[in-house]
Amino acid sequence: MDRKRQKSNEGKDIMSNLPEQIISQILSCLPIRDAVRTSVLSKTWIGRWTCVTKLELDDHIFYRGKKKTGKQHFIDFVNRSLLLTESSSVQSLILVIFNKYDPSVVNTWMANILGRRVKKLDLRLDHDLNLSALSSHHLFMKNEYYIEELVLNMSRCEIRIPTPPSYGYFLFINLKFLDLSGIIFTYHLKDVRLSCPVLKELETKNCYWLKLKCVTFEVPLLERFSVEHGSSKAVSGEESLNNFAAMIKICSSRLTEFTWGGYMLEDLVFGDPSSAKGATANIILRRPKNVTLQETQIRISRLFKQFTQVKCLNLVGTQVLAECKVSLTTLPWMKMLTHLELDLVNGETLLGLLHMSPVIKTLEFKGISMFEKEILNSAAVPKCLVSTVEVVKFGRIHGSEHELCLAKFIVENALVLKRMSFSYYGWQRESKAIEDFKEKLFTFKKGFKCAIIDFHHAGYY
Amino acid sequence: MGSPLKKIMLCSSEKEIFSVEEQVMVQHSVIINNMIEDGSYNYEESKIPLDCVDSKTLKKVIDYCTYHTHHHNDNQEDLEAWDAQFLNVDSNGLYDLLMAANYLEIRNLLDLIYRTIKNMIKGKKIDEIRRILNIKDHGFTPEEEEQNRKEYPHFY
Repeated sequence: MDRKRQKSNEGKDIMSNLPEQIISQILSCLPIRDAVRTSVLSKTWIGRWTCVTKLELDDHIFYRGKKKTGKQHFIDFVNRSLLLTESSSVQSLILVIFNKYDPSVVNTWMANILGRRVKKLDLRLDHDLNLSALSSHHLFMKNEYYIEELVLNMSRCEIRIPTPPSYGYFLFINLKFLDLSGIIFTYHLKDVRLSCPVLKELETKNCYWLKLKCVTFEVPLLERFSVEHGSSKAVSGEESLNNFAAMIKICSSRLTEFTWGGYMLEDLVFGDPSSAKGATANIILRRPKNVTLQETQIRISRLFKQFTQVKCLNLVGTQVLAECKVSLTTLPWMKMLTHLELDLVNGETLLGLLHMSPVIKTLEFKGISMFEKEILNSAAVPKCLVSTVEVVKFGRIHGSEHELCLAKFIVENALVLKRMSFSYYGWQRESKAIEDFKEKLFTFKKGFKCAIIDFHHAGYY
Repeated sequence: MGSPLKKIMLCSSEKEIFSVEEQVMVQHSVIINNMIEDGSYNYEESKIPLDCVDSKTLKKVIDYCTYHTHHHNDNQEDLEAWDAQFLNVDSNGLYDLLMAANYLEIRNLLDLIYRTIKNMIKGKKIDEIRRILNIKDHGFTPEEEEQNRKEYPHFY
């Protein structure tokens, strides 16, 4: 220890001769408060912190133990940070606001931040805000060339989309990652086009595009997207479907996975029918409120038209298909679907989906709800069951009669089956129902030559 | 397999020659990678002159790159332990390494040093940072220093 100290005492002032660009890198690794503190180290350090490349403004840390003064401290701190840092050096900016501030103050910050031309922006607000016209303008018009990653994570934020440039659409040339949540977009025109030539990932959650005909994403390199409406809280009172965009159109030829979930407020449309070829689709169906049965059926049928080329489909909310009496036979076939995963599903819907999917190899469902057993006797055996289904994973059985019926149907008709798994709740580990189920299962006449059948318990919940 | 490992020559500021596996430097140093890729390096004759890197530092840099080339599959903990041992140097040594890593554009070594310096400063009081960074002459007049201490008492 002593020797070490002696040695370092002999050393030179390691930081005073370093190139400014290195100093700014080191300071950018520090929390901004530590970086600012270096301004009183020595005369050479006075302005160095203003060249940080990363600025993280998070109001959580200002409230630790001092609820009252925290707010004003944070406001001063953000103001100073935004005024004093060099616009040209800050490349990554994070603003996290948990507490409530005067909207005009927040909007001033937003306008400054969105107009700075940074590469990485991450803005999170826990309170409602109507983005000012200036901030909106900056967001859409000033980030054309610079922004690479944009996260706008809002509680409820209204953004008025400005008039596009003369070429008619909004361009974000370098944007690779876009994540929007809690935003209500309004626009004075009918169609909005966003062109992001290198975008790889797009995520929107609880975002609404009010009264638009079509929202088009021209994203030729897009690999993954997720559009979800978890709750319509943000737009409560405006639930009439006429208030939302008619469709969201995704133009990409590289899709590998997409998630589409919610109340079917908009239609999903691909720019090119083969866009989803070979992709995995995660679909969460929720029944739209205040919408006629017929309208829902039409929306579902339009949605399923987009799946004709997908390879894997994870479908949650199949009960919506049953509740809305969707006639599965009228839906287009999922000609390329090899993997189908469902949550709790009833027998009719399951059979219907199998009929639509002639080449399924793996079938997985989290449970079977009650259904009319007779349909299994009268129904034609789905083509895939006879010729392609190799793996069936039967989730969360209770050992009930209808589960057994369906298992029997599969055992008898799945001619190329290789594996069948059953899982049950942990508390049923030694229950008689499960034992009886097993016993009966093994007495059925088997359609396949040789397959592994296994049982395992899958947790307690 | 097959052809023996290709070597390249690096020449320190003291004109000492170091022979290193090409892959080791190409994987880590952007500058050397570019030289090899654009064909400006001649295997028969060239030595890469590194006039601003002394032998002691260059040897350490090569050690770092060699170790990380051959041990990149090790678990994170072992690597971090090795890195910590590697950077157990005095401030002069750290400065020289930083300049060399910057010159040769060795991204992961730079990040490692940045993190190390960050940890030297983070959460510390001004007087402590001054001692750690060997800032002996802060250049403020006593009045200015007094003023700073008054204005930002929480810094000190």
